[in-house]
Amino acid sequence: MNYASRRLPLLDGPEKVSGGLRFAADRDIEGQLFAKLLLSPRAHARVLGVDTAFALSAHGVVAIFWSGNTPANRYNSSIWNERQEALEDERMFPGIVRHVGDRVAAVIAESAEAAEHAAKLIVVEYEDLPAAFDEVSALDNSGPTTGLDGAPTYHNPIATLSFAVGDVARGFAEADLIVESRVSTPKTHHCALENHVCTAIPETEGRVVVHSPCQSVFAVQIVVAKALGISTDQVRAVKTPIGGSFGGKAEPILEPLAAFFASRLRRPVTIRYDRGETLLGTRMRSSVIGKIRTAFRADGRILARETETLVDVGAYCTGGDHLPA
Amino acid sequence: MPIDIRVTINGVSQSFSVDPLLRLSQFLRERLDLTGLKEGCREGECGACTVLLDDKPVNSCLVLAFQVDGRRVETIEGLRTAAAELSPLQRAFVEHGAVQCGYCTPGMIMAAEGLLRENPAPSEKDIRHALAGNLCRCTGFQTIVAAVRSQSRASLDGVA
Amino acid sequence: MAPQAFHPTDIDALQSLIASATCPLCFIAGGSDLLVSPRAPPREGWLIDISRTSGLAFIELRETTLRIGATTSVDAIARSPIIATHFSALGQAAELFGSAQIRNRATIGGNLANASPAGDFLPMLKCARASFRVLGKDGGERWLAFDALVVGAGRTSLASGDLIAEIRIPLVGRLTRGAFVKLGRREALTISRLNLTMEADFDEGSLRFGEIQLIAGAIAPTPTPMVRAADTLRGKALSGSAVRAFVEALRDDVDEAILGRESRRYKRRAVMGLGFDLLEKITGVTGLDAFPGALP
Repeated sequence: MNYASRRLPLLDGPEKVSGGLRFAADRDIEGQLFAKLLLSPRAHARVLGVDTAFALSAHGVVAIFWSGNTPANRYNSSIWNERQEALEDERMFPGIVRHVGDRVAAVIAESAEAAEHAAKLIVVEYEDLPAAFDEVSALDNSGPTTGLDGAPTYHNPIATLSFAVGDVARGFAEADLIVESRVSTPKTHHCALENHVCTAIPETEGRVVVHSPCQSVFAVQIVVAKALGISTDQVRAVKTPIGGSFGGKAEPILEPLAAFFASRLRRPVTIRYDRGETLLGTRMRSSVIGKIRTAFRADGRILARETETLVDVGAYCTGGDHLPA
Repeated sequence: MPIDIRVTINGVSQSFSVDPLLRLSQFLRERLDLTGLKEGCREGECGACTVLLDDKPVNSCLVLAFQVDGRRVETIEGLRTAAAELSPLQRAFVEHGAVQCGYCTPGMIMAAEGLLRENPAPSEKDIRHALAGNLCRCTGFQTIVAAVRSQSRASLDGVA
Repeated sequence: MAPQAFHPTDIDALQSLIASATCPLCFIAGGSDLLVSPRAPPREGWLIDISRTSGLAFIELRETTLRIGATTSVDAIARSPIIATHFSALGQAAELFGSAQIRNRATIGGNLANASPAGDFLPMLKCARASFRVLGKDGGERWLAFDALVVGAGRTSLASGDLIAEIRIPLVGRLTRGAFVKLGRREALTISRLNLTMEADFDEGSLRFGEIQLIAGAIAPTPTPMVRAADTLRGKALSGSAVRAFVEALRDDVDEAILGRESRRYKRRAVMGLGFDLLEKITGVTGLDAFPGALP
C-alpha cells in the first residue's frame, strides 16, 4: 500500500499558509457586478409590493430583481441527482416570505458598496401572516398559505417513519421499571469561517458557469438548471476552494440567483454574504424534541427502548423529509 | 473627503488617498490585492482578518485605514523569507497538520507571529491565550498549538 | 458620504480642533466598539482619531495618585507593573479583556465612554473611587466622580464634543489586594454576563479580612455594590461558614439588583460559584469549596 501509515503533507498547504490560495471572495473577475440581497425582517408575510424606483436611480445600480421579475420555477435545493423526487417549495424570490432572512430582492451594482447603499432604498410592503415558532404548534398547521402565491405548503408532518427491531412489546411487558426522559437539541449553524459566496459568469449560447465553494458540483448544476428552467448541459459548475462547510454549503442557495443575474445581465455577478446574512439566510441543523421510554429489568439490564422524536426542519422542506430515514 | 496617508506595508512605504470610513481589511484586500487575510465576521470575533500593526496583532476589520498613517502593517504575504520560501512558522503549520480548509490560517499565523516576536518562548497556556481571538472550525486547535509550540525558543533549542 | 477625518498629533492640536468645530464630532481611538458591524462612525461631521494623539496614553505613579491616560491600551494596562502593584483588579480585568487583537487596540477611555453595563473596567474604577478629567468643547476641563460620569446603561453625562482625557485613582487609603473575576459564554473573548470586583485588606497569617469593597457588574445598568456580601466577610477570618455566608449573601444581593428580569434565575446561582472563584483569587487560598460547611 502506497499511502497507509504514511504522513503526507497537505497538497495545498504552502498556498494556504502563505495567503496565496484564492477563495471565491478573493477572486477579482474583470467586469463583475456585485449583488446585495434584501432579506426579510418578517417571519411570515406576503410581499405586497417592492418599490425599486428610488433604489434604481442610485449611483452604480444596474438592476434590481425580486419576485415580480424573476422566474417562478419551484425547486428543492437539497437534490443532488436529476431524477430525485423532492418536495419543491423553494423559489428564487418567493411571493410569501417564510422566515426572517428569506429572500425579498437583490440589487446588482458596479460595486458592493453601491449595491449595499441602494438596497437600503428599496421600499417593501408586507402583509403579516400567522406564524408558528415551535414544532408542537406547527403540527397543527393546515397551511393558510396553500395556493396563495402558487407555492405548495406541505402539511405537517411532512414525513414520518416508524420501525421496530425485536419484540418491543414483550420488553415493556416484562419490565420491572420503566423510565421516561425528554430530550431536545437546538438548531445549530455550521458556522464555517468562510461565509457563503458565489460568482456566475455568462458564456455563449445561453450557458453559464457558476463558481462557488459547494459540496457537490452536480447539485449546483441540477438545482441551477431547475431554478432557471434550462437544461443541465447549459450549466457548468466549478467548485472553488472551500473555507469549511460541514454540511452548510451542501445545498445550492446563492447559485441559482447568481446564475440568473449573470445570464440576464450578460456580465459576471458575485454575491457575497456577510456573517449576519450567512447565519440568517442559509441552512441550519434541524432541532429535535422527543422522549425516550426505557424498560429496565431489576438487575439493570435494558429490555426495550422506545424513542419518539419530532424534528423541526425549518421554513422550507429542503432535505428535511429524508431525515427520518 | 479622502484623507492622505503614508504607510509601510510588508516593508514597502507607500502613499495612498483613502475614504475615512474604509476599513483596513478592505483597504488591504481590495486596493492592494492582499487577499490572504479574510473577512469572517467584521466584528472582531473570528480573527481571520488579523494583521500585525507595528508588530502587534490586530483585527484589521476594526481599524480604519487612515488610522495606520505613519505605521507599519504586515500581512501573511509578507512573512516569506525569500521568493517561494515559507517562514519556519508557516512550515510548522503545514508539517503539524495545523491547516485544513485554510480559511483561518493567515489570521492564525499572524497572531502566532505576533506572539513569538514578543515572547519567543511561550508556554502552551501563553499560546492559547494569544490565539483565543482566532477561531478555527476544522482542526480542533490542538495541531495549531503544537505547530506554534514547535517554534518556541525552548523547542528550537532542543530544551522542550 | 463620508465624514471629514483628522488625527491631531498632540493634546493642544486636539483641543484647538474641538474648539473650532461647528459640526457634530465623533472620536475614535481603538475602534473596537465603534467599528463592530453593523455599527459604524457617522457619515457626516468630523471623525477625530485620537489613537495617535500624544499625551493621552500613559500610566504614571505619583505620590498620592495613580494617573492613567484615556487612550492607554488594554494591553498596556495588562502588562504594567505599576497597575499590577497598585490597581491589581484593573490589571486582571485587562488580562481577561477580549482577545490579544482587541487588547492591542481597545482603550480604557473607550470602555468608559461606552459605559456598557458589562464594561469590565467600570466596576473597579467605581470601587477605587476614580475621578475623570473631561475636556470640554469650549476648551475648559472638569473633574467628575464615577457616578457623575456613568449615569446609566450605555449613558454618560458627556456632552457632544466632550472627551475623557485622564483617569485618576487616589492612593491614600488604598486597600492592599484586588481581584476581578468574570463569567461569560466562553472563557475568552466574551462579554461579561456577570463579573465581580473585590478590593480588600487581608492578612495571610490570620486569614482575616479587614475592610472590603465589593462590586458586581453586568447585573444592572451600572456597577452595583454588593453590600450584604461585603458585610458578611468584613473583619472575619476565612472559614467554611464565612464563605458560605458570603456566597449566600451574594445571591441575595444579586436577587435584589435584578428583580423581575429573565436572567435572574441564572445569575443568582452563577454568582455563588463566581464568589468562590473571587475569594480564591484574592486570598490565594485554593480549595475553598472543600472547607467544612462552605457549600450552600
